[in-house]
This record gives sequence, structure tokens and C-alpha cells, in this order.
Amino acid sequence: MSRKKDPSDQPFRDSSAKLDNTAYNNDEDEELLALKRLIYRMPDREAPAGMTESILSSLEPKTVPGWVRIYRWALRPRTVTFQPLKIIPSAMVLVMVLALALQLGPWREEPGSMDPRQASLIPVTFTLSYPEAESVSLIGSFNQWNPAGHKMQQRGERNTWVLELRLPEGRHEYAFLVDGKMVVPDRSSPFYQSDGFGNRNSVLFITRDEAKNI
Amino acid sequence: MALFFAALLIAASISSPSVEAKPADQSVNASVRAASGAGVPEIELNRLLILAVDHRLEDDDVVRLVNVLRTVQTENLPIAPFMGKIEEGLAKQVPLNTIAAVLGQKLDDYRFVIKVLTRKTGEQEITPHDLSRMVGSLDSGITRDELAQFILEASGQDLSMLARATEILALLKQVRFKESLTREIIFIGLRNNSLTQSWDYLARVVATAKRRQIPDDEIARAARQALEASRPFGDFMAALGFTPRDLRHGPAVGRSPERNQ
Repeated sequence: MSRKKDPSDQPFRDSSAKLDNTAYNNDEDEELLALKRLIYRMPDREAPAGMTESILSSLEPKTVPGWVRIYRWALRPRTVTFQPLKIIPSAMVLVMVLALALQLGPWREEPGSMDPRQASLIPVTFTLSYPEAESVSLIGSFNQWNPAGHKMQQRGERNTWVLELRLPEGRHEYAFLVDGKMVVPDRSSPFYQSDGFGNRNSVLFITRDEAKNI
Repeated sequence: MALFFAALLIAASISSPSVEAKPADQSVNASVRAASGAGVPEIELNRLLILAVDHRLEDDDVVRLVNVLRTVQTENLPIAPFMGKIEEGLAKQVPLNTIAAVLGQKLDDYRFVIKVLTRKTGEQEITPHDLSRMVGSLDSGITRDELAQFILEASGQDLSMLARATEILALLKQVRFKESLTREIIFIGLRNNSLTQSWDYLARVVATAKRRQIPDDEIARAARQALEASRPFGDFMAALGFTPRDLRHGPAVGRSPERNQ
């Protein structure tokens, strides 16, 4: 270590020098100056070996686990600033990427594909020519005979009531309910079954082969 | 809303008997509990109670209907056809007395068919679907006597095939196919075990063939040949000169209505 200079030997040039200069002019600081001189005249002692290393090692930062650092990072408040005009290109790119992913991704819908439950059903179109009817519903074994479930739509000038449904394969009984009270069988169906109430239900057989035109 | 009330009603009926309920409510509760205890599925009881709310049925009427379902369950008969008939009757605004009478008739039909089958096959089990099919033939134009005679005459022990045969018998009668030829075709199919599922559509093919003026004898010959050789149903159709596409009449199956018109 270098030896310190005696303040009495030369005047101070730094800020402490100014203090010392003023001290010369102040009687109250005489004692302080004397002490200062004594300290500077004391012999220097060498620092113990390894002291520097020990001090430096104690100053080394401790290693913090990764999750703690992430946690702290997540907790740290931030201020985000942006310019709306600069966001537009990024948003456009994001939208394009999403659209592309939907179009080409593995979850895209195959052409003609549908819900498997729907796919197992076969489209059937019921028609009834009944110009005088105010309303027509289709009731049958496939809809628990619920007239509210399947209201038919009037189509064209031919006063034809039409309803398209998807039904499972098999045998179905049905009838048309005209104006909510009159039961009318389907005249175009060759098969029927007595309903026990004095009317006839029409009987429809549906096969998958037919839908596929085999 | 109706579902909510029905669920409340059935929950109250089954789980916690209400001491302070009115006498009429008590009888609905009691009948529902009894039906549930007899094994009537809750889903069916729910359906019935929803209908009762929707159609504003009197408590006594609800009790009558619930009791029918309990009887059906107790006799180990399929519930669905009876439940369907209740729904159908209510949708068609049939008076409840008539609905009850029709249910009684249906119950009797089931008992009759089971009795005939027991005479023929002993205690052999039949699926609910096949049983309902046989009973349904009674609503499709054949009498009890005709059905009983047919079942007893028919050879073979495959009840599924026999159920198909009775349905074909009734449907061919509807399209006025010669009865002697019908019996001949069916008996060949039963004897050879060749009246398989695809022959469910025999009546449709016959109806189409008759519309095309194909004589009954010719239709019967084609069916006989296919059934004797246990050939596919498609061969029978091909022998008559058409494909499934030709069966299209009645509702348009597998196509848009425009093409149907």
C-alpha cells in the first residue's frame, strides 16, 4: 500500500483542501487538524494475507434459482407503450397466419365431412300437397310425435309443404298434422299401419344403399 | 320449463314422500314410485310427466298412464312402443280414454303374440324389437288368427327371421300381392335360413315391381330363385331389372326435394 502524505507537508488541492484551508482560519478546528496530523504520521501496517480475496468473495452475488428469477420477472410491473399505427402490420400478419393454419392445419374439415352422428343419418325429404292448410307439421316415431319439432315449409306456387330431415336407417311411422289437429297420411307411401285411433300412419323404410345410389 | 317442473315432480315423487300433499298428488306420487319400484326406467317416467305437464293432464289420467307402464314393465314387455303410443295419441289430440283403450289393446296384442310364440318355441327368448315387429303386423293388416296360423306353420326357430317374415306377410298384403305366392316365398326363406336382414326391403321391391306392371308370378319366381340359392337380395332386384334407385317413391330418400318433384 502507498504511504499517505502528511497534510502539513503540502496544501490540499481537492475539496478537503478547501476545508483544511478554512480550518487554518478557525481555532475550533485546530484540535482536529492536530489529530489528522497524528493519524498521517502513524506507521502503515500491511493488510493480512488473503484479506482482499476474502472481501471480494464475500461480495460475489448468490446464485438465484431460475424459477425465482422468473417469478420476480413476472411480478415486476412494466409499462408497455405502443403506437397503434405500428401495430396494424403485426395484427395483419397474425390474422393471416391464423387463417392459413385453419385452412391447412390437421383440424381442418375434410370436404363433405360432418359430425359422425350426422353422417350416419340419411337425408329424407317429405312433401305434402295441401293448398288449404294453414300449417303442416310432420310427426312420427323419429321425433316422438312432437308436432312442434318439425314444421313444414310451404314451397312454390304449387302449395307443396316440404320438410327435409336426416333420419337413421330402418322403419319409421309418420303422418302429417294439418292445422294442428287433422291427421293426414302420406298418400305417396305404399305402406301404412293403423294407429289404433282411427287413422293410418304411413310407413317409411330407409336404407343406406339407397342414399348411395348403389 | 316443462322439463324443469317434470324433473321436480319426479324427484319429489321418488325421493321424498310429501306428508302434506293433496290426495290427488299423493296418488300420482304413489303411482310413480310404484312404477319406479317395478323397474320402469326413470327416463320414461320423466317423458311421461313432461307430457302430462305439456298437455295439462289430470292427475287421474297421469296415474292411469303410469300404471300402464308399470304393467308393461312387470310383464317384461318393451316400454318404448307404449310410450310412443301415448306420445302419438297426445300429439293427435286423442281423448285420454281412447288412448288408454288403445294401450290396453296393445298390451293384449303383446300377450297374444307371446302366447303363440310360447306354443311354438317354448321359452325361447325374443328381442323386444322382434316382438314389437310381430305385434306391429297386427296393425298392418293381418288378423290374430292369420298371424297365429302363420307362426305355427312356419318352419325354423330363428325368431328374428320369423319376425321379418310376419312383417313381410302384412306388407305384401297391403300391396295386394298374391297371398299364396307370399307364403311360398317366405317359407322358402325360412326353410333355407336365407331371409336375412336385406330382405327387410322385399315389400318395397314388390311394390315398385307391381307399379311397373311386373306380374306377381314373375316377381315370385325371382324371389324364389334367390332365396333357394341363398343369394344376396341385390340379385333378386337385378333379376327384376332394377337397382335401389328404382325403389324411390314416397318421401325422397337421399336427395333434394327438387328432384323429387
